[in-house]
Amino acid sequence: MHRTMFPIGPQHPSLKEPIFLKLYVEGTVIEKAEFDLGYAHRGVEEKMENKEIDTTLHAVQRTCGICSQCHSLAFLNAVEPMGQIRIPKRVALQRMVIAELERIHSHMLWSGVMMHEMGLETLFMYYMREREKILDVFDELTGNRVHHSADLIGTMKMNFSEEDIEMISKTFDSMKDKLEDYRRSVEGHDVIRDRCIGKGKITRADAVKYGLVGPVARASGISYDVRVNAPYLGYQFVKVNPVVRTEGDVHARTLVRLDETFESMRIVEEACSKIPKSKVPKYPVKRIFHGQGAGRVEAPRGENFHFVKIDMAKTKRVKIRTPTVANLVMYPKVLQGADITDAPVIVMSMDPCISCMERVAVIKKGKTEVWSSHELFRGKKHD
Amino acid sequence: MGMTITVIKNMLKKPATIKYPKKKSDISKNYRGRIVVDREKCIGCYLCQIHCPTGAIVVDPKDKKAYVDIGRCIFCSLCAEVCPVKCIHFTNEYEKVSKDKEKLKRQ
Repeated sequence: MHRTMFPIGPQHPSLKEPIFLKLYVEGTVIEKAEFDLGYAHRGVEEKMENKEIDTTLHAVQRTCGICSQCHSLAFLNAVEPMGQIRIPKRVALQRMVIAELERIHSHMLWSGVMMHEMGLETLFMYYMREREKILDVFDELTGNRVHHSADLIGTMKMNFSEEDIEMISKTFDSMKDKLEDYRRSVEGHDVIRDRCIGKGKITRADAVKYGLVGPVARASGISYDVRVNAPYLGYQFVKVNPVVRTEGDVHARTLVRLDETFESMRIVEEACSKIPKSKVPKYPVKRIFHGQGAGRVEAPRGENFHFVKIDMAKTKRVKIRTPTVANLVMYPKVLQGADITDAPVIVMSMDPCISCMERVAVIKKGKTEVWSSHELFRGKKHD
Repeated sequence: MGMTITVIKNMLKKPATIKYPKKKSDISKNYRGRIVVDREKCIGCYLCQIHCPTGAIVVDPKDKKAYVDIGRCIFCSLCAEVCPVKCIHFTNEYEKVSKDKEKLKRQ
């Protein structure tokens, strides 16, 4: 039988991310899957060389539009131990509240887009409507809806007042019933069950072998969560119950994310009740001159890792490893043997964030060479 | 039955969106809109220029005062934090659009 290559991407209505998937099909069954990257050129890491540490902190958040606080937390986890800075309880809990709110809005965005992939536009609208309330909370707390820019080395820019905390709990009260209702309909909906159960199955052994992280790993029965295994910030004060399921299919991944939303809401409420009355320290807390270190946090998509090297009070090197890098390698394996109509749902169920993952690497005649931002801007390489 | 209730509820409810040009949304207390430099107070210490992630704020060497290119600003408010005389602040104005790029520079 003739083998056909079926392309998805880099621009495609069912994929919002610049990834080129090559699906080799026989009939409607995918025999082999490959992916191609490099459609989004970014110079984030190069931009952060030889900059002030505070500047880098604000630039590093711009890596991702959905999980910006997680990047700043990973950077701070790497930098703050270098200067022996111990952050006060208030700062730790405030940062944690923003990070958990971000997880809620990221998972709700993903749920909405996932329902859109399955053709359930009404649930997509419902999820987006509820998500808007979380963005309003961000606006009220930090001043920005997407890139919060709330952190500084060793401190924060704002103190959460009593009214802020009250507003958070009020927003949660208005959302909770609706979200539980949507979750019930996702769990019992015939269309969703038909499209999800048994599709894109990842066994526990495969998840361990490929080193998967985040909700994808937790849906395959691996209880791995950086918040539990290596607690940072205020996670020593608030207990996290990781959501783990063993089915490993698309439906399990959907339900893990939906349940994590409720878990994050509980964490935010508990953290808000524990915020002490003291104020955040004044900026600047302490200057850091030398050192290198690594920081990791649990981003909405999984483990986010930063390596930072500081010399003469400037950042010399920042290496960012987003969770999508870990989960992306699973695509060829999980798409193999699936039906072509299931491909968008399986691809989306891993929650890819390709644009955050891409770094600058120009491949020429089989040789890899790295361009600086200046060279990229000029469009040609220096000799 | 459940569907009927949802339909009636949605018909009686107000829309979730706001008709923007006619009605404007509320602005939060921490909102960061247009960036304003008080040049009377500015001492030209270059700290804001050193710290700006995008190079939007630049001190003119002639009169030693800071000027902002709104087109490059990412509203991180780091310049306001590092300023020793606190002469940089953010207003609530969010309609900063201009058809002319040059008008956004040197504000």
